[in-house]
Formats: sequence, structure tokens, C-alpha cells
Amino acid sequence: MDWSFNNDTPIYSQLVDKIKLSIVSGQLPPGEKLNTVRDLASEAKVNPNTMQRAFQELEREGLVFSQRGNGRFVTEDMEAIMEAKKAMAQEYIRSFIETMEKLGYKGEEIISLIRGGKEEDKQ
Amino acid sequence: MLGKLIKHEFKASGRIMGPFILVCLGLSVLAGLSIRGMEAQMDYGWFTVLFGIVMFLFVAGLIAVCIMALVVCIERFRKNLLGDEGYLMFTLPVSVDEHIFAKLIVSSVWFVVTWLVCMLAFVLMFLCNLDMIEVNWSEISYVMDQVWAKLLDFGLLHIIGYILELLALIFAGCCFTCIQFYSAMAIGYSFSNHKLLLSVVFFFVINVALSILQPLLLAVTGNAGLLDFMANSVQNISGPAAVHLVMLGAFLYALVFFVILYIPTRLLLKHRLNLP
Amino acid sequence: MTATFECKGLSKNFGSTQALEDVNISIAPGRVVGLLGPNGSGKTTLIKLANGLLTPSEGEVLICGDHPGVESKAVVSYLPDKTCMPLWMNALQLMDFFQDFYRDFDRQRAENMLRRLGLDDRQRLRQMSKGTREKVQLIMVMSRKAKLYLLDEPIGGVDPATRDYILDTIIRNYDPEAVVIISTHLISDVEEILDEVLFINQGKIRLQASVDDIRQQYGKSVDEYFREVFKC
Repeated sequence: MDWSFNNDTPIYSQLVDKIKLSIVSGQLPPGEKLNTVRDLASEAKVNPNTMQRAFQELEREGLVFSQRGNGRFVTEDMEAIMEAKKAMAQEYIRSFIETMEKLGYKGEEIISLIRGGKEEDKQ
Repeated sequence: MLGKLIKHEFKASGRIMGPFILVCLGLSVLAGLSIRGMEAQMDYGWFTVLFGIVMFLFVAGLIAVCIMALVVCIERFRKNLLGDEGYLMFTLPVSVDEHIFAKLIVSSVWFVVTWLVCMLAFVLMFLCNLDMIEVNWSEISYVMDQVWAKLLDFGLLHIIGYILELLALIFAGCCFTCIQFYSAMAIGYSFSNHKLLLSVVFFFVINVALSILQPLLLAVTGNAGLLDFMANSVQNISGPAAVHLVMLGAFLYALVFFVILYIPTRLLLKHRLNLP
Repeated sequence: MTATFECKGLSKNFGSTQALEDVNISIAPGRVVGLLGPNGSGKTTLIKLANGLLTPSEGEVLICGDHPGVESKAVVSYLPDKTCMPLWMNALQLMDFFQDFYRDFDRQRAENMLRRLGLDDRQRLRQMSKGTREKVQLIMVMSRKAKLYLLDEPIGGVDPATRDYILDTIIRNYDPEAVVIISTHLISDVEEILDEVLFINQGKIRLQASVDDIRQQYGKSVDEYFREVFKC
């Protein structure tokens, strides 16, 4: 996992996003046991409290669950994973559109640009 | 914790004092053998030179070990408590009193050990030539018996008492010597600049102050009738008891001056510590 | 719950210079706190006061409710900003020393860390490089199960690899019941391992806040925010 951080958002929320991405992309498959908070904190070079907070957030969203004395696991609830995936996709689209609008493109223009890009890719 | 401090203090100072003491004792044996060689050899020549060198080294070694005991006493306090190592020492869960007493006790022991080593060195030198000297053992044992009988006359309890008092007096004397250096350094090192120079200055200031204070104390106590009391007591009590009284007086005298210097040392280390 | 580290109206002057002025801090167990400020801002003075190496001019310092003293020193693990371990000692002798004086010293932990460092136990500190000395010193300090760790400039003047090693050692030995206070002026290097920051300047605490709150509120890193607050 890439553990570099940007400067303008809280570290814990960046951690949440990174782990979420690993889960929805299947890099961390459903039911997979997660490393301990301490190990992950050491790997990411962040404060264990921050890593803990990120996991609490992920637990609240239902993407990971902890089993007493057994550690933490990725959820096996595919629906929850798909939902998170969709939410993330929507978030990326929203910020993408925002950027495009800043560049001066409007709804249909953006779609046709994407189509055009895709056509070019095929050629 | 005092015990642990003392243990580590011995480790730290022993690695310096140990080799010096061993070299000293080694030289005393060499000196003894040289003397032996001198006696056996009719033709002196180059041997005289060697003998001279060995004797010189022997004497120099004895002087060196005495100086080292003093240097170790001063340097352990200066480096270990007032230098960079002070950060480690003064954050140990140990009181300032324990720190000072650990240094005092270990230094005192080294002073006594140094003195014993000097004695032992001469004994060793002598033993190397034992067979050359005609010893009248019966004469010696006769003298020893006489001494023993006299001691018994005095009373064994008195003797044990004297020995204990003497040890206490030696310890108090050593502590008093050390605390003169310690207090001077505690004052000198509480300044931010010229710490070492100021320590030396204050050492002399303290010495001058003491040399004024000491007769003053005697005069005051004399005026207060203490000396008369002592003199009367000495007349009224038995000889052996009078010796106890004198020893006790000397001990108290050393103790008073020790305390006078101990109190500011302790306060400075506790509240005005100024580590580099 | 008693705060692990607390300052109440704490001031310290050296003659006419005021090193600290009316400092009020309270830190609950389980926090990793950055004491951040420019050089000469009073960081080291504050840490020395907490260790009882200095006596306050006014106010008080409390460690788990006690004034600095024999009891507090037994639960505080201190890394000074210079080498303070006797240079004639080797790692084995240092471990003996720590084991003798600190009941909370975990020798096994120290041995493991020294082994990972690949250090010869019998090499004297004098023969080690500056970086290695600092690592050994940190290992001793972090091998205690203390309630309060006071680390004064732990990453000042070391190469990036050593800096990573030091920060990793702090994270790995993190105890959720303990408080770690790291003083430094190299904010961007430590920012990600901190919960809270204390900004100190000219002897006064200017800000106590959580790292994520600063990022959330101002949309910038603590390092950037610090530069803005202390712009010359």
C-alpha cells in the first residue's frame, strides 16, 4: 500500500480512504485478516491512535469488523463493499466534474470528451 | 538505591584505580627483587642503574596512586554529576543525598585503600628479602604478648571502642576532605561560565573561610565552657574513658564542619543545578 | 482521571531572562504530543523542569499528580538532547545500569532492539558513531515501560535513515497508557506520528490542538500552519 499523505486533510481520513480503496479493489479480499494496528501504524509511519481511529471509522461504515481476541477482518458482506465502491466512484466523479467545470466544460461536453478519449484509446 | 549507586560508583572508579593499584604492587615486588639482586651481586655496574630506575618507579607509583585517589574523587563528582552524565544521574529515581553520599563513601574507601596499598607495598618489598634479614621471632612474639597484655589491661571493650571510633574519625575526615571539593564545585558549576575556574577560586575561598572559622569555633566553644568541661572530665574520669572523650570530640568537630559544607552543596545540586 | 503531565502557571527565569511564562498544559494518558517551537523558545527548559533538573520560579509541574522527585523519576523516561550515557560503558553495562535503577526496564525488549540494530554488545559507546550512540540511547529510553516519555530533539542532526529508525522505534514501543512528548523544530518529520501539538514561542504556549483538527480546520499540514503562525 502507498502510504504517502497530502497536507490538506486529516491523516485519519486519508488512512480510511487508502484502506477502503484496498478493500473495494479486492487487494484486501473479503474475510481477510488485517494486520494489527501497531504493525500498520509502523508501516505507514503514523501514530497508532490515528490508525485506531481510522479503523473505528471503517468499523462504523461496516467495512471491517473486529472479533474479540482474534483481531480485525475485512467484512464478508459483499453488499456493503459494493456500496462503498459505488460511493467512492460517485465521490471521484463529483470531484472530476468539479474540476472539469473549472476548466469550462459542461455536462454533455464532458461526456463526449470521455467518449472521445475512449475512442482514441481503442484506436 | 544507595547500595546500587555505590556499586556502580565502584565499577566506574575501580576501572581507573584498579590498574594503578596493581601496577603499584607489581612495582613493589620488582623493587624488592632489585634489592635482593643488589645484595647478591658483587659487581654493580649496569645493575645499579636498573635498580635506581625501579626504585624511582616504585616511589613514583606510590605517589601516583595517592594523587589518583584524589583525582578520581574530584573527577567522578565533576563529570558524573555536573557534566553531561548528570542528565542521566539526576533523572534516576534517587535523592540528591544518596548521590552525594555514594560519592563520599566510595571516595573515602579509595582513600583508605590507597593508604593500605602503600603499606602493603612496603610489606611486599620487605617480604621479598625476608630470608636475608635475621629476625628474632621469639623477641617479636614476646613484644606482641606484652602489647596484648597491656591492651587487655585497658579492657577489650575499650579497644573495640577505640577501633570503631578511629574508623568513624577516619571516615569523617575523608568526608570532610571530599566535601570541601564538592561544595567548591557545586558553587562553581552553578554559574553559566568559567565553571572550572570559579570552582578552583571557591575551593580557596572555602579553605580560607574554614581556617578562620575553625579557631573561631574553638574559641566560642571554649568560652562556652566546653573546654573546661572537657578538662574537668578528663581529670575526673579514668584514662581510657578520657581517650574516648577526646576521640568523640574530634569526631563531632569534623562532623560540624562537614555539615556546614554539606548543606549548601545539597541545596545547590537540588535547586540550582546547571547542567551543560 | 489524573493528567499524566500537567503545568500550572509555570514560569522560569534565568536572572533577568524569562525562559517560560505562565505555561498551562494538561495531557491525558495515551497521547503522543509534539512540543514544537523555534530554537530557544523554551522547549528544553520545559522538559528539564519536568525532569526536576530545574526548579520552577513560579507555578508547578505535576507528573501523574506528583511534583518532580524520586517517585516521578521512576515513571519518567527521558532522552536528553545530547549523549548523557557514560562513554566508557558498552551496551551490556548500560542495560545492567538501567535494570538496576528502573523497575520498569524491559531487558528483553532492549536486547531485541539491539540485536536488530546488529550492534556488538561489547563495543564501548566511545567507539560508536554519533548516530549509533543516539540509537542506543533511544533504545534504553524506549525499553522502559514508563508513564511519560520526554524526548528532547530525538531527530535533531541525524541522517534520514536514522530519523526513520528513531520514529519507527517510538511507534513500535508505543504504549496506549503512556504519554510521549517529543520536542523538535523539524515538524514535517514528526507530524504524522503525533496526536497533539503544543506550539511554544518565546516561553509561551501559543496553541494546544490535535493534528487532525488543524488539518480539518485550516486545510493545511501542521508544518504549514506553524510556518504561518510564526512567520518572521
